Amino acid sequence: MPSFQNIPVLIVDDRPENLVSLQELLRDLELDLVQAHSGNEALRQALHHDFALVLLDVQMPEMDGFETAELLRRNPKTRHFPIIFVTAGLREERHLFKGYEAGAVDYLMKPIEPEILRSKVRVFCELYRQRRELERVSLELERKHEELKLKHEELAQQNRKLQDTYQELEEETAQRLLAVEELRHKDQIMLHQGRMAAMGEMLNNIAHQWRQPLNVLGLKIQELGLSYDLEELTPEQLHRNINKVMEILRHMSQTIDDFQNFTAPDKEKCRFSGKEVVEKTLSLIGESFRAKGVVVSAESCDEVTIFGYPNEYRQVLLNILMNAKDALAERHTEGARIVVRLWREGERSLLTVTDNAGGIADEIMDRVFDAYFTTKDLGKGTGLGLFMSKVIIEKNMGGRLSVHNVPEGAEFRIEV
Amino acid sequence: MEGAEKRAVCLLVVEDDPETRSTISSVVARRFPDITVRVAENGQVGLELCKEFRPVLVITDINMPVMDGLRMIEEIRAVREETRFIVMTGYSDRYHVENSSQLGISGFLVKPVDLRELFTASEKCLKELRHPDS
Repeated sequence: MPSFQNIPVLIVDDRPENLVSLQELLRDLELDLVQAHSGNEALRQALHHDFALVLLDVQMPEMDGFETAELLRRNPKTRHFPIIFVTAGLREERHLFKGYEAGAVDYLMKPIEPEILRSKVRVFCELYRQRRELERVSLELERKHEELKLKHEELAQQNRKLQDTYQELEEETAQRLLAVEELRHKDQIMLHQGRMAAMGEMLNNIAHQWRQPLNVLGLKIQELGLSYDLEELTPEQLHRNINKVMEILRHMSQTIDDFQNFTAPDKEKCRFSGKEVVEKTLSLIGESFRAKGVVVSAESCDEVTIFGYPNEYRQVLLNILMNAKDALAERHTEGARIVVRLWREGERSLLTVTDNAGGIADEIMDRVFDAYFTTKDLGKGTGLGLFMSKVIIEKNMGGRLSVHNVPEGAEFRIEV
Repeated sequence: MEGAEKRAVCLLVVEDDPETRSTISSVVARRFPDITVRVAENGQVGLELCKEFRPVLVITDINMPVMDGLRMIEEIRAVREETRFIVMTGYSDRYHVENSSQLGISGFLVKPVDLRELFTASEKCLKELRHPDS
């Protein structure tokens, strides 16, 4: 049997003995019985409790049961209290009640039959209990709902944060990609600049190479004219001059070929003669170096076959020679000399370029191969030559490019 | 004969390229048949020959090994002021040489050398030497 312990029930009767009687009848239900001796007292009590049921005597002086009930029904707080009228049974009385719209209404006839009373009370108490239970569950649901809402809000926030972070990451990645792209672009520019600088040097070389031949061509042709004017022109002189001119033109043409070969990028690795490269390069720059008073010579150059990129190797050799020449010129070295040596050591080829310019200072020895590092005045050196050379030898050809000081100057070493 | 040879008017061609050297000395000798033309392959030899044969006119290149043309001119001037100089230079050397004009160079010829210009400049120098007041 469900417990109705402490369920508040209001019993209203002006006669105390009736109240006692009711109390007795309902004892075993263990209700929280609240007594009122009049309608007014009932109303007062009604304000302090949420009654499951009001047992209301109809016949009361001053304010009868119906009137009390009407007042209870008028107050929103007490409107819902179920009411059982304890009545003597006069049917006409029922019509006097005007509170049917709100709440339950029931009747008990006097004399009260205990089982009927208890049964009716139990019903309303059960209703009350269920109502309270519902209320409790409802509250619990609401609470849970609030909790869920909060959790949902939290999740939404986290989600937003994640979205933001994701976006940031996307932006960062895009920026990184841009930076990488920029670097690649810069690399290409550097490569290009390096090539341009090399070409600039070559153009200078050509200028030197062609100066004398052009001069001689001019003289040879004018000589013929002079001889003719003086009526001294012989067939021998004519043909001798013609041969000389042709020889010079072939030589000049060769320079163009060499230059073109030099600047054409190598497509793939191949075997080439190191000695040939040395000789070719020296012949290319011999003139202009001599003009600057620098003597370049190849010593003990063995027949060494190198597997790599010939044009790039040439560029590196040229670059190192240029550096040496500039150092010698800068320091106004007397008897400026550059010696190139080439030999084989096991599987590798070794080429050294030694100058007598006095060597490289210790402080800058480590930075000689750095990009953009130059000891020359602003506008004179790009600082790219040795850097590019190192890249070519070490990255592209898997070799080694190094420098160290020897008694008279610096020695660059190319190992491939 | 040696003394007479030494006293004869002398002209010196200083040029390190053999082909150029032989052609210029040859055409100059044919143009001025009364003058002895001597040759030197660099500034050092040129200076020595100057001291020995006292040429009135030196036609010289600038870029030469051992001693370059400008230094040779300085050295010769120190020994003998009256010597006239005609300089043959490459385009890139021209400004450098012209700026050292305090050396009193009589003629600048840019390579490739035009022989007519060379002859005109040489004649002018020789005329000045014959008639120093005109």
